[in-house]
Amino acid sequence: MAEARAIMVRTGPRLWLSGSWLILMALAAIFAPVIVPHDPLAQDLMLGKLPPAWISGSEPGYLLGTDSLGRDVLSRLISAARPAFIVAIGAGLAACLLGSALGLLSGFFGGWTDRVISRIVDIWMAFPPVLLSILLVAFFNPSLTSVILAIAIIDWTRFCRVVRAETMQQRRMDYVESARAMGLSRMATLLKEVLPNVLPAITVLLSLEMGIAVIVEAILSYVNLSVSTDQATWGSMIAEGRGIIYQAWWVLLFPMIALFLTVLAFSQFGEGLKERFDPVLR
Amino acid sequence: MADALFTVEKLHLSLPDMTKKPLLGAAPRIEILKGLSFTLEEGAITGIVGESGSGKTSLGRTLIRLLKPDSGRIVFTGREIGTLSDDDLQPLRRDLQIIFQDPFSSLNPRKTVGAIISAPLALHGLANSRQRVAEALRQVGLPEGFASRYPHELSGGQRQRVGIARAVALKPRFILADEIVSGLDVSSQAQILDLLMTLRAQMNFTMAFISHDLSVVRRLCDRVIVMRQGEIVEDADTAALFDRPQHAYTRLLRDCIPLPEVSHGWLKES
Amino acid sequence: MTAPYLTIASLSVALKQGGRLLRSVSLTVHPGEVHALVGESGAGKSMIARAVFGILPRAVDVVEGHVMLAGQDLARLPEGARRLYIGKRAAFIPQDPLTALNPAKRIEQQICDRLIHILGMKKAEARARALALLAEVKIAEPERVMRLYPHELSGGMRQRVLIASAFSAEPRLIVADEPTTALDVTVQKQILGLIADMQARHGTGLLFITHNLGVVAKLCQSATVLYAGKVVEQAPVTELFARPEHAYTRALMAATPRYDRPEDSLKPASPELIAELAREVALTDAAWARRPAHG
Repeated sequence: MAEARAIMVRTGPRLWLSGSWLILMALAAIFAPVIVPHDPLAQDLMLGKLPPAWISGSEPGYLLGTDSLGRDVLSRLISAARPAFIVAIGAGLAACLLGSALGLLSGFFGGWTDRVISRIVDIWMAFPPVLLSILLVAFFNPSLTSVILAIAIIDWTRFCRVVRAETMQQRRMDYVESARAMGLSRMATLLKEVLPNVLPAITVLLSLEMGIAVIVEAILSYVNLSVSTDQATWGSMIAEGRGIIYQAWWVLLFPMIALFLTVLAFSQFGEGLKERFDPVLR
Repeated sequence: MADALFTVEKLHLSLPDMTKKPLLGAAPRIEILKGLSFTLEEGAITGIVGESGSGKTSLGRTLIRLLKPDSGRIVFTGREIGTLSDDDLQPLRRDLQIIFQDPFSSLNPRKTVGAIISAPLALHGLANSRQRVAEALRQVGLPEGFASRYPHELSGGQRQRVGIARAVALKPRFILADEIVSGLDVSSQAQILDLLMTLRAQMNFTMAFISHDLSVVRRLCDRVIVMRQGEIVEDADTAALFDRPQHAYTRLLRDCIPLPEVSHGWLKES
Repeated sequence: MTAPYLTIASLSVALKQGGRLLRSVSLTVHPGEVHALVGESGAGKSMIARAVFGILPRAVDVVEGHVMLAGQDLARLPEGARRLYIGKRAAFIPQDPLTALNPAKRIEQQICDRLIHILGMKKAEARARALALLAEVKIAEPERVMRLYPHELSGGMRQRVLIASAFSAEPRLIVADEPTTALDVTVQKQILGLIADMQARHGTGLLFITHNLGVVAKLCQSATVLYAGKVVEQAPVTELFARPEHAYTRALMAATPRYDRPEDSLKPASPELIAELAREVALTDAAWARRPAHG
């Protein structure tokens, strides 16, 4: 009991707050079809541009108002959490796995491995990212998968660079020599000794990347290059809301708040995880 | 006369000078060890002493094959190990252990003390890790409870003991001690050296003790090898080396040590 | 009997929320005197050096006593005036010559900057003085060395540059924090000889921080032995070595390696002694806690 209390005290508010928001969003993403008050796709032009519940002129049941096609903003907001999360996790993990793997190999083995991978990263990073992602998405049929691919293909270099630097720093430490003296194979040394020390950096980067992925998806759906169906996304809601900002500001504001909070929560969650679980910081 | 655990003949080692590396092509090599020959007697502690640039650290690493020599022979327990591949060396690594100078970087910061000490045990297929870890900790004078602590929770002297525990846990035949007391306070230094002498009496391992501090080796080492710029300048019994140094450089090293005896004229002597 | 140049009187510093790091430390350095500050890591030697230069860490407060330099209580000066006052009178020789020098500046710049900012010299004058100083610290080819960057020099040469830099503004007090610990023993002897030479020639007082009793014996005239932030013994060096009074001093001497008396050296401190020392510190702290409150 005392131990549990101690753990709770040690975990700062950062982890709790960000974790709670993310759990909330995750639940929204998973259970959207069940918990939405209205069908996010249902249009009713009679109920277009209704304000949120606390403002006069609203209709009961449409808590955050409706958009120009009469669709419930709250329902769309909730169901938009799903594509956001799918992209965040998919693109984040893909970029992380590819970039970290190459970064570890390049930083640890050095020599030709490092030279080849570094040159690839240098060349890759020379391409303008936004252009590249638009090209990629336009090339494949716009869908969540193409968005995930586009983000991962560009952002893996960020992981690679940082992980390479961290790995190189750890490689200089005597405990790596010690592992060699023990007789541990080089690959085993990399995975068992060095990786745990690079993991905090990877964790923070991964959470940041998830936040970035959500924003990129929002940008792409703002310019209509994300999912092509009526599936609500925060980006497309913002695009729509921008057009009617003077008549129905709520259509723009709420998805922006949701976007902001989600990106913030991702980055703080990573930092919070590092604080909580890194033995060196205890 | 005990057997020689190590016999080294005409050992040469060079390393690439990365500061002078041209854009294309290999970096020029600097000779670190210029043809060394010596033996290490079994059960003895041999001091390897020299100033910076003498090659003593590289010699140590080459002896336990963390570096591969360019030429020359290294015979360990009757076996030539200078040219062995990493795979062939693996079974021998159990008997070639090293204790590092820097207690801060030689222990993996994200592993517990217990994990650090038991890692080599598991690797070489020794069972009863927990007991052996407890025994190793006991041998170096640390409480058993330290097994669950992390390195940053320990002081420099305690970390150094963990390094020693890791090295002796395998009960190796040879231990390389690479400047292990150089970063420590006078009292921690005395404790660690005392510990080494006790362990040697108990376990009878052979040790090469690298140090830049000649005064430390006087009490600990049976023999001393003095190095200068990649060459052996003198190789003698400790007492003889200090009382009757044969080489001028050895004499210089000895005379530059300030003894705790008040003498304000000492600094003016050349 | 000349007045001391540096007076530290009953100096206690403590963490804002914690115990004392320095416990009523008192010591003096007279003009031209070489005074050793002996202790192991954590004893508080660096904290004392920081107190002299007015650069205590922010987490630490002075809770008792004062530091006086040339008769001036440093705490009474406002921040800017204090820095200037200290800069003109005292200089520091650090332990690690590599990190103490700015890697992006040539040697010439490092020394001249000091002269220009503290003494208000003109550039040409500063340059001439810098050359003279480099020659004084026995650097061959000072013209060439001036143009070099720190990483192009050996450890010994870097330390010589720092010594030159320390003496450049003609300070009356130099605090040297283990300046030879990172050097080879042959270089150490040269550098110590150089420091002694410069100190005698310029008549500078020297507070020499070290944990090496051998260096104390060869270089210093008087010594303060520090343990856990507390002065445990203070004496002229000849007396300290002939008749060490405090148990800690004796333990330090017994633990110091000696090649001429191997059986009498490298003796670790006994657990009884460590407990005894802890008790002594606890008693000091208890007396401190009971002191009458003052406004």
